[in-house]
Amino acid sequence: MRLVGVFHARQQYEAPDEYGSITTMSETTSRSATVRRLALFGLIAIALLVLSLFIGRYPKPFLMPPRILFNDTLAQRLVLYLRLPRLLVAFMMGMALSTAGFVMQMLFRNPLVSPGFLGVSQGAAFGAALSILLIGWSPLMVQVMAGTFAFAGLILSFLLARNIRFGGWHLRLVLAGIAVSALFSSGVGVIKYLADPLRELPDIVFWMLGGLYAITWDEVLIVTPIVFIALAVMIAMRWRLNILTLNDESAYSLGAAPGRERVLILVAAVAATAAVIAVSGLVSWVGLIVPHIARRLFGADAQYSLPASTLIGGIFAVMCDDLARTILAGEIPLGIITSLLGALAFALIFASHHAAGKST
Amino acid sequence: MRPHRHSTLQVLLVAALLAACSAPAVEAPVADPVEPAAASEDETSPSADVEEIIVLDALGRELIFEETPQNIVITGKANWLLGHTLYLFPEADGRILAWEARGGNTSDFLTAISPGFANVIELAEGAAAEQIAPLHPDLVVMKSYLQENLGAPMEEIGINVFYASLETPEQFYAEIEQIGVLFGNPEHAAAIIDFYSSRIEMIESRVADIAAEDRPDVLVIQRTASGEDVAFTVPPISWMQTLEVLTAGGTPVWDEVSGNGWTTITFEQIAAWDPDVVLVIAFRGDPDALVAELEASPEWQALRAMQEGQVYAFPADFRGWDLPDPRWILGTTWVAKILHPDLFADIDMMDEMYTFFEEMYGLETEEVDEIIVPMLAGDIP
Repeated sequence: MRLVGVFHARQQYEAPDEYGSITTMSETTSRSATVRRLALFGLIAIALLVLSLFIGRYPKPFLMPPRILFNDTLAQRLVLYLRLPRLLVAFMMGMALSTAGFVMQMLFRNPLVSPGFLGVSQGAAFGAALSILLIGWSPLMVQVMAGTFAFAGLILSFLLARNIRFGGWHLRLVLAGIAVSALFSSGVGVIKYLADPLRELPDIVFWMLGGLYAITWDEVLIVTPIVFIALAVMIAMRWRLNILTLNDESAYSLGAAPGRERVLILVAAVAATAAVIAVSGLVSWVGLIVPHIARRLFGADAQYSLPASTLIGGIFAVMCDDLARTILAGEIPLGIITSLLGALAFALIFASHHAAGKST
Repeated sequence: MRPHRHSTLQVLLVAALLAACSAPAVEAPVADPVEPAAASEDETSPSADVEEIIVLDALGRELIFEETPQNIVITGKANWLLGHTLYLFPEADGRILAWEARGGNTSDFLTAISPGFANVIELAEGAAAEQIAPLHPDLVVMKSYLQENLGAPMEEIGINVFYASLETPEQFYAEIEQIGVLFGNPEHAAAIIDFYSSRIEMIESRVADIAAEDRPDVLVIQRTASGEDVAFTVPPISWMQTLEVLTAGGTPVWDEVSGNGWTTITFEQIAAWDPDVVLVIAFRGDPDALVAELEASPEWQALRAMQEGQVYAFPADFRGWDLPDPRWILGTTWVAKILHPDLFADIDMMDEMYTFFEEMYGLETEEVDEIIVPMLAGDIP
């Protein structure tokens, strides 16, 4: 597949119809408004990141007066060595999970699919738990093992799906994903059983609930390249996503190579998911609910709703992490906050009578 | 219609199943708790002539024995705590029949101090009623919170179970007294209680006059494996670690943290509390190395307690002195000396340690030097 074809797909998709310039003008106006809304979310994300630097437990709960940064060495180090890397990872985690969830929901044409699908999350959790049990805590090894088993989950799901003899491809992949997730989930259970209850088990249980309390610049350096490359691939191929949701014959006729392109996008989604899960643990609902929020606000067209999902995911994750580290003196597992808020948002969206955009 | 081969097989399988179910079950013989038996002529026990032994466990249940249990199984979580407490009594030596090897090992401490402990049967982790019943124990000892899941099935098949808590000084005194009755040596139980209570009274009397606002703010933390120097855990307010600080005349700063177990906090919260003294626990790790790592951390270097040299490694030998293990008396004394060095200047912690192991476990000075001292770690003044 030539990379230039990725960008030319936009021109093909927007070929003028019989109404010519009138349609082009209305589309341009709509596109401008959408771009402005995207830019607004971008500004919100930046503002939230800056504000979150001053949210925490020091010197008192919630808001830290910015002026103390000028004369309090401890405050400076807290912001620079603890809050900033943690916020960056939270933002990347939200972006990665929401974008991965978005592409998976489109590729599988299933609104209930999330990055935990196809055994990816459970595989990453299994790899991380195995690393902790066998090697002890090593950020790099945990990342490597999490990524390895995340991809193993994806490959196993594909292989199993190919051997299922009934149903269409998407149904077979769904069933295979459920089976592989259950397999890795039981593996995690075995590891928990074998783990030292006072040393290894708490770290393994952390993976089940998720949390960013251990993030330092080391984790940022490991996660950033993987997440950004994967996001770049998924965002660059967002126009192709619209085509890839069609059946294979239609996709071929529009110039896509559906098999290879789906694999490429899925690999990028899995890589991003595994990279963040390795440092954050299993954080649920971000990859499931944020794509729906993005589609409600920006419509079903991936060229806008995918980057919107990326930004909204980052914003959502940072907000949840702010709550997790600020409300109580003790850390609240991040997965609990995202599950709580995600479930509420999920219920609100699907109970809402007013769709903000085009239907999916 | 062709006969279906599978239906024949199914019938045969069902018939075999019914035949197996109808076979008389072989009952595992279990010791009858009230079985009349000749009293043992144990002349070393001062209470050999007592016909019935009645004890109350931590759940308030009454157990009745005709004689001192000879075959004791220690099982369940924190069984090391129970074993180390039972071994405060010389009668325990040689009577531990089996021990659940949690985490793949039994008790290196008891293995070191009791040659007979090597003969203890190692039960696989997770051993329950079915694995323990064939051993015909006279008594099974476990933590009280295991009653529903682990103890109840054993009680159902007639195994005596003694539940212990040992999580607070009051529970320790009460249960030591009962264990003394169980072993037929209440005098030794009284001596143990006196050893502990006299020290606690000494500490409390010396810190009694310190006003609440003058008591140092103390933080006790344990490092998580993944948190390195930015995330730690604190114990619940009801646990021994907190009680040691309170007894020693300190104010625990983490009292606003709710939770039933170790709760994760970040360094930011530690900075917000700004404790006067930080006591660092390294469970099964090297506490001295841990404190050294914190000293090298740029975040910790900005913490007032670190700048004032008030970050200490909690001592440990085979087990941490912070734990509700019998060593808790050493932990409490140590905390008092750290927090109020002027009030406890006459206390030598090394002397206290030698005295503890000599009087509680019957170790000679040379044995303490050989067995305990090499395992010693932490900031011992």
